[in-house]
Amino acid sequence: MSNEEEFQSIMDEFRDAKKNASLFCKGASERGDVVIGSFCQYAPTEIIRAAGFYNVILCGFNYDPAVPLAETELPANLCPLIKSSYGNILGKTCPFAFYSDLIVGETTCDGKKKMYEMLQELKQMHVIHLPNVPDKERSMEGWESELHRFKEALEERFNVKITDEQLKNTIKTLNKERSYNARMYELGKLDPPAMTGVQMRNVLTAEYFMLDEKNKAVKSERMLELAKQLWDEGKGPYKKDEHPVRILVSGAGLDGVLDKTINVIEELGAAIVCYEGCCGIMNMRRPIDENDPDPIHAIADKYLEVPCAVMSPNARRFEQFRNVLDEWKVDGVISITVHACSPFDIESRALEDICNENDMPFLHVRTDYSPGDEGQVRTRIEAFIEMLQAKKNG
Amino acid sequence: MEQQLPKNFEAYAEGRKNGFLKIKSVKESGRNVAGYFCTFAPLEIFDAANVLAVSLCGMSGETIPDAETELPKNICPLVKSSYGFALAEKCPYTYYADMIVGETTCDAKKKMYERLGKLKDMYVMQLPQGVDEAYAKPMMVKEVKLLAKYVEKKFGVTITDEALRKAAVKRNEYRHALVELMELQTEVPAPVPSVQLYKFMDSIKFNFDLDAAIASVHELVAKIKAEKAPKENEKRIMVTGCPIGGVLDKVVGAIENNGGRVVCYENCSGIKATRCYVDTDAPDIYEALADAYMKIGCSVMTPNPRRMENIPNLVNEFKVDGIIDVTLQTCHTYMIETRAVRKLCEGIGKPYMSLETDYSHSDDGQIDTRIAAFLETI
Repeated sequence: MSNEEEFQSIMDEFRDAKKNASLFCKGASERGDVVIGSFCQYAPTEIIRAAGFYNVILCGFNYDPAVPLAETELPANLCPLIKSSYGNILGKTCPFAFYSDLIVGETTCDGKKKMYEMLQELKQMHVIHLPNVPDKERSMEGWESELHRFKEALEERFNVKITDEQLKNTIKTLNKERSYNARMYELGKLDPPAMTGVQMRNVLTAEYFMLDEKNKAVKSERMLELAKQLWDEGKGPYKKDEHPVRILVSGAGLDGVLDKTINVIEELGAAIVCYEGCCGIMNMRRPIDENDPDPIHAIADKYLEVPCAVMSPNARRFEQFRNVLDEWKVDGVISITVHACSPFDIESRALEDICNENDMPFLHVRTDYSPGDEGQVRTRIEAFIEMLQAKKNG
Repeated sequence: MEQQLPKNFEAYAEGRKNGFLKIKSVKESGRNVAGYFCTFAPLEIFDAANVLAVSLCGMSGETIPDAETELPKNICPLVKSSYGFALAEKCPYTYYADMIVGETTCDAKKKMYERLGKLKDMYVMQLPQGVDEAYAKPMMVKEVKLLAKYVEKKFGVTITDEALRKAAVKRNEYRHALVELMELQTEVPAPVPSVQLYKFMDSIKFNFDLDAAIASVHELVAKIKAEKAPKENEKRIMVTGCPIGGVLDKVVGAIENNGGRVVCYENCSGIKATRCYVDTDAPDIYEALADAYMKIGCSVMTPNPRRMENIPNLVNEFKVDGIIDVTLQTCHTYMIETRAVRKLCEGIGKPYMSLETDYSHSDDGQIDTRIAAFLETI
């Protein structure tokens, strides 16, 4: 198999990961293995996997049939990710929720925390309380106690013991997984980039559904190697003398709006060189301290630094955002927020302020899972990219 | 110290001008002013520091267009209105506040406070996400203490436990007076017209002398008791949900006009929080404050059993015929909770209606029709 073919086959495996994961979960469930569903990285996968459990993500990214169904019980004017997630569980169209022995929520945003109260009527749930303020002096104590409560709940419910040793091992594994993603983002620093934003997105989404941890490590490593090699040989996604405008995409909940946004940006000739926000570069760059004698403390310390917009104030995000603009030699920022996601929507304005200070072109796209705004979103992205291209080509 | 007036002062209407002049003179008399938004703000801290605490919640759509230059359109009108008043310098209390205390209640408010922090000296108190987990109480106690420290530093004062306890006694007295007024509505027929009751409870917040405020509540209670009760037996309504100051006329006005009477305001500035007395004999006054404020059954808390326990009790106590759950647009927590309240009301066999509205007038007619239809079914 040529390098190109091998790279492509790994990409295909990532793309199909979600589809294959439901079969994997079925098998795991039949073998009596424990499957834990969660929505957000604030439900630390380290603790779940240290117990020897599988962790799947239950975030809904589809409109039909989940959203209309959810709207029979939830307000229509709510984030589509929340509605889709709830609707898929209500309508039993989410195989991962079906196979989950327990669902773990976290009090991130208003919509999710209140949706979880309803979900409790449908599934076994544990909700971890996340502080509102990321200041460690004020919040670390409570946050750490919540992680202990979560660990103890798993131990009690499934009659297992989660040792510090297991936690430390899982922390190492997960740090490694994060480092693959961070290295993938590094490939975006090249000019032209060695991977497209669409490819990166595929890998990121697949991350959660590559449940065979060893296979994931092997494929991730090889994928990074091949991407760099192909780029060196001039066989990357762009020709060597091609210099597309470089976009930083910022935001959360993007997987449900890929066709309208991410795919369109690259179809129109721009390159997404990095992602910032949920699953973005900042989380991947910050490992968990492997030398901390208290692994729960180390886990708590990392996640309190996740620069999500639910945190107030979210100073870490702004600081890192400025750095990313420089490091990735970004030509323009596209902030994508989904309907009624107040934290990211309000915070987008703060990113815009930073961009204005730095003469960095900025576009804020608000969209939804529901069809109807594709044309409008495309027109706005197109105008923005044309402006960037004109600027770049002088 | 002489205080500046806002740059557009001359263009303001008479009432607003007077508001500015009134608070300007309070400031010039040397009194410090702190603004607050929410019933979760422990006002005892400000009382104990001899700082005037004034409510800043925006209750008018007038400043929403100003706010929308910086905030998304699709957020709660109260949050937009409040921010708009600050931005446009149209609220005398925000304008003259030496500091503002916010609290991490809902997403939109906590993120709005970040922007407000660029305009004013802003201090945000952290609330737990729910009050029943073990971490909540220590967090709340710590946060009340941190607020006290901030106030001490900001104004160069010392807040002694003794002063705090005294302030709590006084605030309790104020709460008891208001509750006595609210409890008049348990009578059949309920003696106080709905809009009048709400407006009184709202305006009393702006009486800057707590003793005088308490006296005027007592005076009103005595006056109502002395008057002959109205003859007509109106349909007895409980209003629950979001703060309604900005939609008072279109919702409560419509209830009155269609033969209903609000006998119980269960929402924000109503009985829910007012009955959360502080245990002034508790060994640790900070713990007592934390305990009292954690009892507020607000939908930002998860889970929120207190509201669900409170409603049926109040329905009995106030002999309620029907429940109207008022939510402001994009208030996710109260909106999502409407389902639970609806189920609860079905369970106790009481008619229920959920009304989602905002500060505009575009739905006035529709709301009136819906309320009329609802009252007819009772």
